[in-house]
Amino acid sequence: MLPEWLPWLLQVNDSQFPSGSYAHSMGLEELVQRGLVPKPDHVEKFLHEQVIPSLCAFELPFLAQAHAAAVAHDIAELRRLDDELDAWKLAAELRQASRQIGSRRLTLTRKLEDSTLAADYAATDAPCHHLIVCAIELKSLPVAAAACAYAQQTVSGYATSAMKLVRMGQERCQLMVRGAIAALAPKLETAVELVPERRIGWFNPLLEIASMRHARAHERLFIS
Amino acid sequence: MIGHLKLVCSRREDGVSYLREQSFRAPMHLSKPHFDEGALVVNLVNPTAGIFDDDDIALEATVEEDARLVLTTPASSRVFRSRKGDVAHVTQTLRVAAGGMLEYFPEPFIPHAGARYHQKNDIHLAAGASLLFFEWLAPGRVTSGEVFEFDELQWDTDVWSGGVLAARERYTLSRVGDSLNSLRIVSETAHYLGCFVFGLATFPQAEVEALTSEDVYIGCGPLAVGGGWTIKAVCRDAVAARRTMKSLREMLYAAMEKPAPTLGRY
Repeated sequence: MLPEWLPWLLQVNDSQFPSGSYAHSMGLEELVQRGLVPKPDHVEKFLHEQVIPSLCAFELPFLAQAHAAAVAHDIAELRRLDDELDAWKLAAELRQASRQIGSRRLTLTRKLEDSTLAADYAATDAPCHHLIVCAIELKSLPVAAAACAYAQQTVSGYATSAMKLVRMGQERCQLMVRGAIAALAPKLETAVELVPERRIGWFNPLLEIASMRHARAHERLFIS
Repeated sequence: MIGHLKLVCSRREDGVSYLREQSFRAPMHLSKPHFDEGALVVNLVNPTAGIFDDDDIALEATVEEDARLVLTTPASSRVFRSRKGDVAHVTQTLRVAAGGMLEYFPEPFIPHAGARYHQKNDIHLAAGASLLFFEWLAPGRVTSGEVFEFDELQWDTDVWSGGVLAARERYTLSRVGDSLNSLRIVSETAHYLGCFVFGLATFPQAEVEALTSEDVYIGCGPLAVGGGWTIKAVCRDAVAARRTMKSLREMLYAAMEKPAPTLGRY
């Protein structure tokens, strides 16, 4: 039997879903300009060695906490996690991008679905980071599926940005996304396991520096 | 060794900052503090060879209202190979009251091959407090061929401003896995520099970014709360890192329109 949440997931995770994320490279544009990610092979390496580890060590465990709060309709906990993300995201450009994408998603979610949780959360004037809104939006999904959807958005976002920044086509992009998600899949269940006192976090000063510098770049295609 | 160092820096009526309280236990010690450019400069000294796997050290420094304290180290901090698989622990708790200023400017942190080390930095700033907090992570004893050969470094930092969490970092770095990839992509012997800055009316963003070169990749930006800023840099080697640390310190003091206190070791 078709899971009730599947049509909803297909819609909100569609690349045509107008979250505004297409306008953000999340630091990749600056890394390409610096010559650190110059070719498709380097983009692929970047996904496997920097993006996926970050998802597993930080974003997905954090998403799992937010998802649990969303399932419990725990607005206070969602807000605490949202505020905490402001502190985690040291690079202002990444922080703003996450807030903008999240806010747009929340607005649209409220229009598409009569969600008490989304309405209650919007009333709190929270930062609305992408990750928190994703947890709200996908609360009806099993947490691993929600995490997979979030990871797919992240990986796909970088890969489609890369198409505009390095010489590569649609097919290479899709192969790249497929390879990254396949590599991530076996790690998903562990990443979203809620373990009390679990220590989460990731080290990527390079991406933070790239994002900080991107805000003042002389020329750029992307907002961030 | 289980050691500690506790300092409380206050300001006398004549404007001179002084240590109102001090307590330390091996392996921690103090140099004789000196007063320069309106700040009390204290060198934190570890007279042993460095940090070993069973060490547990707590450093606590409080800067009271309108006092100015500079904490620095006379030499690099070394963490030696873990002999029994145990972990060395260092906890640093720094507090700055309104009108107070703390600068924390250490020499490089050098983890040797096989080192296991956990550090926690907990920084609490009152509204109106100033902070220059620097970190410098070296890849190891490069000239001995030890480059990113440590077993595990855990690095936790929380910065609170006016009771609100302004910055949070949690790193676990290891020679195994992907945690060092973002440094290695820049250089096989990359040095990492991090800095938190609070209390500047105008942050010299363009000047800091202009430090970027072939050897230095640097960025800076405002934190979400408290008017604080962060600076991060990945440098090709120790020479580039030292040059960058020096330039940053000069720039930040110039932005505060204050002369930088001498650190007393040159």
